[in-house]
Amino acid sequence: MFDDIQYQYRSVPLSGLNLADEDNRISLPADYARLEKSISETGLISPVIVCASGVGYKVICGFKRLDILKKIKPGEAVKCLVCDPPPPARQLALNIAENTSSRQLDPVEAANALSKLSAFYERGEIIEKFLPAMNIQKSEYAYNKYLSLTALCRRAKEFTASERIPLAAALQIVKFSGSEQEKFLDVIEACRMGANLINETAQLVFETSMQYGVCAEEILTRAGCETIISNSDLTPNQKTDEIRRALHSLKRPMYESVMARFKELASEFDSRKISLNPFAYFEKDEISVKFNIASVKDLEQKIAALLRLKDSRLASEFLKKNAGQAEACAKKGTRSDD
Amino acid sequence: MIRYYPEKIIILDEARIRDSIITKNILSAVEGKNASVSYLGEEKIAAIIQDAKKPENSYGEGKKTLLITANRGEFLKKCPGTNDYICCDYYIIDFAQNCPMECTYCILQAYLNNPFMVVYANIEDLFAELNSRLFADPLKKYRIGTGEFTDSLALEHLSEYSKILMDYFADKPQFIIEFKSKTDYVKTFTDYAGARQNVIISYSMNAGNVNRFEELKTASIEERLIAAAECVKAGYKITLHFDPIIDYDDFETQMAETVNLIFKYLGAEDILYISLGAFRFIPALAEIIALRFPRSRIIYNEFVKGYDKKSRYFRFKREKLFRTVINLIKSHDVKNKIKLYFCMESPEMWNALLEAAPSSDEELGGTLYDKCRSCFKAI
Ligand code: SF4
Repeated sequence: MFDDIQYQYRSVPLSGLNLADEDNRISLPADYARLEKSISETGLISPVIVCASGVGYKVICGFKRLDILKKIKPGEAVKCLVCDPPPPARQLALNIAENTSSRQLDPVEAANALSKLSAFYERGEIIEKFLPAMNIQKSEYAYNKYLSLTALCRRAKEFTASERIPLAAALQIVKFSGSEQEKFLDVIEACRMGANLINETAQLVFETSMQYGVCAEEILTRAGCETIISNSDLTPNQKTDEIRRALHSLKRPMYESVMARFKELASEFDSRKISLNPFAYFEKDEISVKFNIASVKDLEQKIAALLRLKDSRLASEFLKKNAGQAEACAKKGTRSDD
Repeated sequence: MIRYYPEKIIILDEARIRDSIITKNILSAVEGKNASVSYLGEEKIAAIIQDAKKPENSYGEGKKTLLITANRGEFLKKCPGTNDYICCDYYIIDFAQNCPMECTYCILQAYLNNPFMVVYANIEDLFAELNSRLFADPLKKYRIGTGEFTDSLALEHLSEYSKILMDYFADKPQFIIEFKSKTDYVKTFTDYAGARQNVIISYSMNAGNVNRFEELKTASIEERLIAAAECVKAGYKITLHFDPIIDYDDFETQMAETVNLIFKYLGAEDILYISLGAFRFIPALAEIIALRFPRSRIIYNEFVKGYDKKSRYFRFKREKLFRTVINLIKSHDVKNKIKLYFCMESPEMWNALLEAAPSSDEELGGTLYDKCRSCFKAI
């Protein structure tokens, strides 16, 4: 596809490259520690590709390498392959081809690439020609998914590019506004959440915001996230637990309220003797009682516990139809009541 | 409402399909509508279906093609129930699959594995099967519908399938046939010259805002009720289905408006029964709704996993939604002429809100059947 391009090998001082021209750039300017170590130890192995442009040169491929050289060897000349300027669409395609030939693009690079390509190519052509080269499923769904990441705020992009945020979470976070994304990132930073927790929290915040028809920021506020993360008495793990609990209560108010009441009443029983579980109650006037029997004496104890259960507050609230309880629960958290 | 016309028609290249009255009706109805028509063998059709199944175009795009083919399996199916919820012992004629009306909550999106609109044109096989199965148990009280894998009337202006079924059932009054729809198509019924003593026209009802925002290409609630009133005028009985009842903004006011509209256009004596079912869904459907209708909020709520493995509203929330609808209906139907029943609900829900729960699916099915028969006798 690019066989016809002729290159000349030249050493060009950094100042001769027009680094402000980022037409072909798809990567974020960031810290690339591994690449930096390799360049500082062994120098630049692959030359960057540039083309003549006015008095200097326009960069086609090699933005990351140039970021590093600028930082660690600003006075040195750069090994370049210089070509006649191809049309802009081809320059971009060449950069993407060069990058994808040696590695997988990170999600933000893929998003930037798709966004820039859309200035030159029809969506169908991008899906057919470029997605497979980027190792992305050839579908409109995948195209839209990656393209949506261009709406991430700068910090969220950096986190996604560096895999601090998994792709699934980035796809939820991108549905938030820029300032909401920042707030969400503050939370995951303060809690030092790992990938799974970030995913779960992003999904919870998004779904709860849809449930109540309010913005993500409102959900973070209702969950008291700001107070929790600024509480210096809590460890990051404790902060995470508090935030999860608060978000779940918002998401499932009836469940939480029934569970809390059940636990309160069930605490009157020794769970080592009989184990009480309310899950059947969520559909029927039933609860589940489980126990094992080790001896006749054990059996007698279990029977005594069951007899106590018969006359307990738990039985009267959860086994018989109790309009008071049902009404109380029904009133909590129903959207039409909000 | 805007009626569906396919851009492309694929016809199974077999004599009985080519020459079927269904195929002829469809081809004559699309004349002048610029639909391309091709006759293809089974293998070629299978390959085209496979190709059309790509995720990005399978739901919306696929519906632009109408496939006229043969049903190689059973036409008559029993509506699947589960042991823990009470079902109404309903039977379905699987005459067509898929629907152009795009309700966000439609289960067909997750259920069907063919993205095209499909009509089965081998009606001789259908009648042979009905003849052999319906008469096997003379005591069985059959209520049979056609709106399970499609809307009963979504393609009626093309195929006239319902009219053909009415002809078949015209001399079999012991079987009750129900056409369930979200369209306002009435021509088949108002023009029908034959007997109608076992025909029910049935309309789905919902809160007005659910209709506007979640039932994207259907007739409005009022259009459906105007159609229902025309059917009543033409001598038919009506049933209504509030299913899925969705916990939606402004639920009580919007639902009240719908119930008021019902009784503006229909009298309680015109309505045989009203069923109530709350929104429920399998996980695969939630994914599809999130993908296809990102603005829809219906899947974001407090759900529990039911005994049928579907997500449903927490029991007390369902109870509250049902109670609202029941009270609204009863405020108009003060003499309790209309039979109310739940679709797939627990005995607890029946006991809390309606009369004592039926002891079996057959008992509920039998009650509904008897109610229909007694009203038909009065016609
Ligand atoms: S009318 Fe019925 S079959 Fe058609 S899309 Fe809506 S729910 Fe599905």
